[in-house]
Amino acid sequence: MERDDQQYEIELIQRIANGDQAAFAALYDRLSPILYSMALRMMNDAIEAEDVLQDGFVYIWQRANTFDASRGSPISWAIMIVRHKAIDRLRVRLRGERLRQRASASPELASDKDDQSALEPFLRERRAQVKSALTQLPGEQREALQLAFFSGLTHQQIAAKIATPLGTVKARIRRGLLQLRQLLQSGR
Amino acid sequence: MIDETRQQIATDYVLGELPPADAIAFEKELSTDEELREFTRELKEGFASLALEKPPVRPDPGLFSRILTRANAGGRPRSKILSFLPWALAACFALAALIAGLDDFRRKQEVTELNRRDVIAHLQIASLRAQINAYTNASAIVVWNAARQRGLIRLQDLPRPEAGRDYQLWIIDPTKKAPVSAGVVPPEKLNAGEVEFQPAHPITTAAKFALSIEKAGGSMEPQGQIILVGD
Repeated sequence: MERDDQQYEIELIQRIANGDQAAFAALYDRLSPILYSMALRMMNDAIEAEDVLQDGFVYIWQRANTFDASRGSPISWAIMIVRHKAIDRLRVRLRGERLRQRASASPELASDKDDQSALEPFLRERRAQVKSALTQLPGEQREALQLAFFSGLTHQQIAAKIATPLGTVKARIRRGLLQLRQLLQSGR
Repeated sequence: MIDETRQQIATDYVLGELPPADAIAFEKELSTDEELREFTRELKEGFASLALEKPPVRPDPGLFSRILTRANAGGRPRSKILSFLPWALAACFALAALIAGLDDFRRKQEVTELNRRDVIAHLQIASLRAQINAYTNASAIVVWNAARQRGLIRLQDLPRPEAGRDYQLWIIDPTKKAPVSAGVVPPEKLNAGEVEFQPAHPITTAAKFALSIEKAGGSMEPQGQIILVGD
């Protein structure tokens, strides 16, 4: 991401911490299409994805003062918040066997793709980098990483789901993440 | 050079797989180890980038107004100083008492709901849960008032500590290098209503609360086992 964009988002978060609703709206405009896309992929349900997005943005509003730029970028901070909110809901959902089957179905996004987001074309470029990096990962690492990110399953549950020892799953995730980090760095 | 064990811990931390007590210890390491902090930051950026794999999708146009309504109902962001209402504390614990008998999940849901209500919007409520099997039945509810820099804790089903030991409360503030002591729980106050506490240093953000077993009289920093954690 362009440095200026990131700095702008940091300023928005600082203003949100002071109760600035205009800054909150601006951050929502920038990030909601990415976050909603992720929530849809995780929840596979538009209404639940909206609920997740609501939970995430209310949290951002209330906890903007906890953002620490030395620990990560605004976009990754927001992604991790919304992912946690989605996982909270997924883990409740996963308690029911019926819903477990639904969650394991191959998720397909609803359309309404947003190419007008303020973050395009950065997103297009970054998306291409991420896709390219993922295709370079060994299939088993890619699968483990994607399950870890999107499914809401714990490592133990992932191990059970793919019938693989827990230690192997953890190692695949660690190696996949390390390699992804390297690939994304070299792609910048 | 970060060895494989620490790489694994950093990975588990980024994925949210570390138990809360371990996550607190790791965050403490992050605050002092620049290499580890940078490594973890890069892992987090890489992991978060998975969310960018699919095209963005614009949500329903009316969603933001619903978010704003909820955000406003929950009050201003927590950095704002708001007045202290003593009766609200009583209300919190009356409500907390009602939910104390519920299971962990229900309790968490209820605490979330309490946090949303106008009457206590300016107070922070945390539900602390056991981290180790020996304390499975123990729990605590903390009500924290940032404006007054003091709070109340109600402990439940906590056994008396061994001789020469005390329970000590900690506040984890991301702006501080180490957890801040909020004092020792007097043994006679265990399971006997609320205990008021004040942190040893001013708290900017109370991100988490933790209870550990320390030597009698308490420690400057957590040395003993952390048995309850929550936010």
